[in-house]
Amino acid sequence: MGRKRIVYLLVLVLLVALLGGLIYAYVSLSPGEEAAADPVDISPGLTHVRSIYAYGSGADKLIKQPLGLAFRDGRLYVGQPSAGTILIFDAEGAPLGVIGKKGRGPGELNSPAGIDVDSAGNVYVADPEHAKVVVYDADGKLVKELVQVKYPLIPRVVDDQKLYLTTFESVKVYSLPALEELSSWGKRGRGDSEYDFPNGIVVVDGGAAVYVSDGNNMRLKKLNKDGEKVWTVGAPPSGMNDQDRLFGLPAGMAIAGDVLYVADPLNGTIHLFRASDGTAIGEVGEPGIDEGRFGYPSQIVYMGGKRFAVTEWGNDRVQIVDIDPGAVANATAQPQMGTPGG
Amino acid sequence: MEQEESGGPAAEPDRDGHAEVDTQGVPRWMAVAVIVLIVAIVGVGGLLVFSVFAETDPVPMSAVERDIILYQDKVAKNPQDPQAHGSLAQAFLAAKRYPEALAEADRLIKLEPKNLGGFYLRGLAFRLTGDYDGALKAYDAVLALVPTEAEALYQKSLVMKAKGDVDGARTLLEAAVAASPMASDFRVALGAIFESMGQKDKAVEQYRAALKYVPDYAPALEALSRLGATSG
Repeated sequence: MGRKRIVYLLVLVLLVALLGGLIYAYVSLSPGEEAAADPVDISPGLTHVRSIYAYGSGADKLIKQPLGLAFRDGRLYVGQPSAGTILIFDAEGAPLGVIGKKGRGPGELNSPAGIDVDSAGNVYVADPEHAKVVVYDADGKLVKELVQVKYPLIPRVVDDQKLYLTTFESVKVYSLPALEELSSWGKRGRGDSEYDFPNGIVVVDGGAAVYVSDGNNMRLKKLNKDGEKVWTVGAPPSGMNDQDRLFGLPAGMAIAGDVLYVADPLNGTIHLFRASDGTAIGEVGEPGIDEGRFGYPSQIVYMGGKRFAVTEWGNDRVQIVDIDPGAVANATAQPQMGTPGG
Repeated sequence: MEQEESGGPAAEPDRDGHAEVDTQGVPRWMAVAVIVLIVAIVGVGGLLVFSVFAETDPVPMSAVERDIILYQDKVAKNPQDPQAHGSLAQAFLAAKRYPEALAEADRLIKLEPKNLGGFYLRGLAFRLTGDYDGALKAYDAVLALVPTEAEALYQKSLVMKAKGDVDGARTLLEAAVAASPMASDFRVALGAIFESMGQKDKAVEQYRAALKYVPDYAPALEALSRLGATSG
């Protein structure tokens, strides 16, 4: 073998060794997936997967008192009233961007309480303190504002055709994209067809069934396409210390199959009901600050499989959890917590 | 190797007809491999440099990491804020970053030499690292400021017990109970000491006393059950 060949061979070996060393160093220094916490089981039927605490590094990027929540096409949208912004994450919790800013001008937000997203990526944000619903395009540019809406709470886009919106006193339906009011159901009160801060809404089958969590009235309602009651679970409390009330405070809702999931900020739990008839399946979770516990869970969204995201106003985070309705049902000592009313 | 010395046309087979050689007599694959490796090294090296220098602050993945960022920011904004140093020390303790917890506790003590919280933080950090002498000094510092501070007596007794000085722990716990007779955890700790010394009656007496103010105090109920005694 010639001298040059030997030199080349040595160089080759050295380069391979150098490359191997560099790859090893790179892999060692990369944070990788292990940075996420291992799944934690706190409550039967509930597994903590991960929590999202920030949308970047540094104290100014920490999530603070999140409220609104939506999930669409692998993206999680989180409303942060303290900053007047909507934070966007991927399903793993990696930050993707920020929409909106604090202020009183067009496209600016004060209290993004409710969020939803249509198939084009347009983001609908209810800002109760500014009495408006703001629509942004997928790039975060202002598209339209629906103004003078009395205390809007939670928007739900249905088939890109309609926008259902709870306000402090009613459920309204708007056309899309015009945002013209098509109907308005109810008024503020405790009666059967009345509402008092409905903080959650789920719409299925193009509006054939609408589920509303009627906050201060401590009840869950299923409505038909005309807004008429199909069933009700729970009842307005007799007073602040009513021990017989079904909920601490029903808030955000999600649906997966025939199961409704209702966040309860005051109990620090998630209630599960059968969507078809309102039968209570059970209650999962415990209040607390540890991973797997909830601190004022305000909104919940379904992410596929058994996975849900929950905004925790009290713990300054969004928690990703898996909920197994079968395990919740098995673990619930009193499976019939609520009885559907007529 | 006549061809190597005299040179020859590129892409010409070698003597065995196995590989192509370049004009310098080196197989072409070898030259290509060197070039590919150099490119790969430059690429991976670039990634490495980027990963080291681009993102120095990680995104917090837990409440503890979040709290550390939060309180580090508070300390940075106001280094003279003793409460921020105390909170940061607690966050470091929760993260099991004991040397940093100690450093923050020291800064708190420097800012407020009579703040008992700083000494408790020091005591806990030392205890958790197994430095019992350091922990005892920290609790002694509290007792030097407030001789009847029941919590310091209690914490010190835990250290004494961990060191194997059961009698010393008992003396301290009796003083802690005398200073704070309603503290159920002190009573249970003292009961456990008596139990370990074979003094069952005295242990039961302390467990029952623990239930006087907290009737459903689980550790006391469990201890009484273990000893086959009733709660009252």
